Amino acid sequence: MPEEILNNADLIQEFLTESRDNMDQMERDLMAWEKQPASRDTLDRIFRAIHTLKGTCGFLGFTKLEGLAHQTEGLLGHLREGQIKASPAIVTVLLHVLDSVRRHTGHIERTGKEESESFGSVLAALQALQEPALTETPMPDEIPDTEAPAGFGTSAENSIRVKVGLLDRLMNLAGELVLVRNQISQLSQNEGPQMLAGPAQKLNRITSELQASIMKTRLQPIGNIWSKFPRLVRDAAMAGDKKIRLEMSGQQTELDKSIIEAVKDPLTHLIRNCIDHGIETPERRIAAGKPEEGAICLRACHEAGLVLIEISDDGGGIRPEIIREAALRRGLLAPSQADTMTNYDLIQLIFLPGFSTSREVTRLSGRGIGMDVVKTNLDRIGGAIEVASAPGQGTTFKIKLPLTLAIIPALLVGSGDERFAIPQASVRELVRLDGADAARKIEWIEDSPVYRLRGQLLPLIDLGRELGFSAQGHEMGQDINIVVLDAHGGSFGLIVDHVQDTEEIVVKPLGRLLKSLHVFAGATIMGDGHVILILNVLGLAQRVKNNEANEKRPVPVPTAMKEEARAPGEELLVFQLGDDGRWAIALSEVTRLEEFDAAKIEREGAVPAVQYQGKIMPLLPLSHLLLAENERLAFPASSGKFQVIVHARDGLCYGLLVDHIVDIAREPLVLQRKGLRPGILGSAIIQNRITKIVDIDGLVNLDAGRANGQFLGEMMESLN
Amino acid sequence: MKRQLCTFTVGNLLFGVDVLSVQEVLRPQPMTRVPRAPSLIRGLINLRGQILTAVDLRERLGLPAAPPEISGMNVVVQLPGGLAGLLVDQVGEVLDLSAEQFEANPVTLRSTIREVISGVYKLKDRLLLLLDIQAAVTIPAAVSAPIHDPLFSN
Repeated sequence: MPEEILNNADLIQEFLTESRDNMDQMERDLMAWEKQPASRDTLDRIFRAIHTLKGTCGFLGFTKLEGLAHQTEGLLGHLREGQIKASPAIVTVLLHVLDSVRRHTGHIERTGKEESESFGSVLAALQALQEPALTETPMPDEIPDTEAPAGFGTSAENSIRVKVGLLDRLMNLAGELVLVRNQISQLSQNEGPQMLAGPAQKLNRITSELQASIMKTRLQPIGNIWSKFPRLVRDAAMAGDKKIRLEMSGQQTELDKSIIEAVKDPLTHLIRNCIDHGIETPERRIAAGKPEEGAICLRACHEAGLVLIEISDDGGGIRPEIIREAALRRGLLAPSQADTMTNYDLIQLIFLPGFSTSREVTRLSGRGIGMDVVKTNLDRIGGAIEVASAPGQGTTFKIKLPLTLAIIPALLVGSGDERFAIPQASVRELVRLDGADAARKIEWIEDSPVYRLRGQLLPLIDLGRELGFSAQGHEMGQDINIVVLDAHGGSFGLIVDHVQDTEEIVVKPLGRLLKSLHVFAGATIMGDGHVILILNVLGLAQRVKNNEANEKRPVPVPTAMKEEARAPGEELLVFQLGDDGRWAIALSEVTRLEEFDAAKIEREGAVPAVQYQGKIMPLLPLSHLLLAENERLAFPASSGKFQVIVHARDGLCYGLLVDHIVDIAREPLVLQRKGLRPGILGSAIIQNRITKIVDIDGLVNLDAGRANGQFLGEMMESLN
Repeated sequence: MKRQLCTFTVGNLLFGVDVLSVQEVLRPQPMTRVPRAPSLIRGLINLRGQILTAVDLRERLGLPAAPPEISGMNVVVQLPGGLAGLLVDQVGEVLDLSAEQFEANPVTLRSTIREVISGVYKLKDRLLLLLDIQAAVTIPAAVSAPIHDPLFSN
């Protein structure tokens, strides 16, 4: 072998890349072939891959690898001629060959030379499998009937390899172009001459297309990483004496390369989890009346600009009571909390750091990473995960991922004179409290502010104070905006001065000098050229957990204010029905307050309803349900608008029609004259006035036929 | 051995950095403050779509803040971790210097200055301090307190 060819790094590099692809393809083929040994095409492809390997190795002088390929080719030859029948044992040996080739080429990549190790055991296994055939016929020395060696021609015609670094650079340039585009379009709208408008619009379109196309170059089908899973499932199932079938759909779903890489380990972990803890042994499955073979389903699809990945098994499922017990034992949950949690919420606890159902603290699974790491890894790339499980029937993990990391939708908020961007994926909802409300509704536990969001405590942090530019935090009496953010292990509220638009932003990393600032995830440049910082929700969440932050910077709050806010009692929403009837409902039952035009009210059969957030929301006309005819206000209510209290339960929304929202009261609730009528809990003295308290459970289940009929009748009349 | 240095002043000190490490010089730019950052970081600058971290050399050298009549210039330098802008008082000319003019740091220098210069060139009527850019943008232990705040290191 001439020296110069051996030294030709380019040739070797090409060989390595090609054999990596070929081996990946061969692995897929082997898995397919094991299922359908009759498929001649698959076997031929495997044969060609090995034949190509043998030829190239001979050419480059990698004699050991050539020898291995030669032996393997021999075995495959027997298989093609039907002298040997396919069996799982043969597939196992061929997979070992594959692993050896990968290990060996890996060594060549690192050192440029062949490994000294010879393939003793693999070669012996190959020999052993061929023995019966060898005695019958000599080994065929035939070249397979293909013109182009496999691997070379398959995808080379319509694709080229490009270095990722170059794509990154293009992506950056496109990002900058977007910024300039934003500037130009702003200029052309505000102060530019008329003639600029046309070109600006064209620039807009071209930039968007260019950006989208460049983004697409970085997209890869998720199948690229899934292709490792059939093997993983096969090996792990064999090791655990289980029978498992892996079904995959949506392999073509494309994602940014960096995200694909980041999601590989979490997915692998989840699948291992399904195999180890999800799917039962065949005996157990049969005893439970299930098919002997368990199934793991992997699905991916695009939905609303995100990628959804679902991993489900039909195994034993997660029993909420076991999770509950384990969480209590580990002190991750207070008993009082545990009682109020739904099964769904209990199961989500598996993502808490330190959670494990095994009795010993050391993890039995021994891989050293738990579900919390899976969640953290996904959080880091702006993804989210949840789990649903039906005991005895299986478990489903749902993962949501952004398409790309470089350009993300973000919510812009302001604090002081500064603007900040928050990745939209972390934003759950926005709450606005006007001045008077803010003072009352923000409660304090020592120096930690909290807010009751639909009855659940939401820890708050003040962005201005957190970042150190408004020392005393929010002044009382000021309006307050709370951005409710989802973070690892729960949500928290971020108090900001104002909430602006959402905008697509280009994420730029902060330089090395600022890397250690965990409260920022990066920076971006706005259309007006200003640099704004992107908040790192996880970093902020870290602060929430850390009370030291608050100890260092005590918050001056008027003591009277604190006392009032801490006063015990129930929060009630007071509203008016009829002329002066005062009514109230527990605030924890209130999801939202809305106002609807009378004209928006439609009928769903005999029930009045409105369209709300894309769904049909039935309305409960409280006046008609609870008041006698002579107590009601004339129809329609004064302004033609209806005040509606939205109450959500079991995934459904109900709208309670009331005449007027009065106030929110916090007072000890002493019910008197209980249960006079269905739909009414009783009466109490609230703000020194007699107030009736509605029974929402009763109301929802009340037979509303007559009241609805009257209400709809009056509505028709008023429209005519 | 000849060497070309781009020179600038900070307070009454004259500094030089290798011209090859300077990408460009900018007039005063609008800056975005970075809350909780160490005090020598003045803010972020939009440099044609790239983000530049502005380092205040006065702060780094322990000098008082610049008087209002000095608006300050940004000397943009490339660093392994990205671009940085050195905030200086005034930018001077590019000088050709020879090895004979060079001498190691005098031992009597204040430590904050000694940390960031790697030698002195003797000009005819003045001394030119050779700035070690990497050291200049490294946050010294004394001012780095906010960064090593235990709350921030997970």
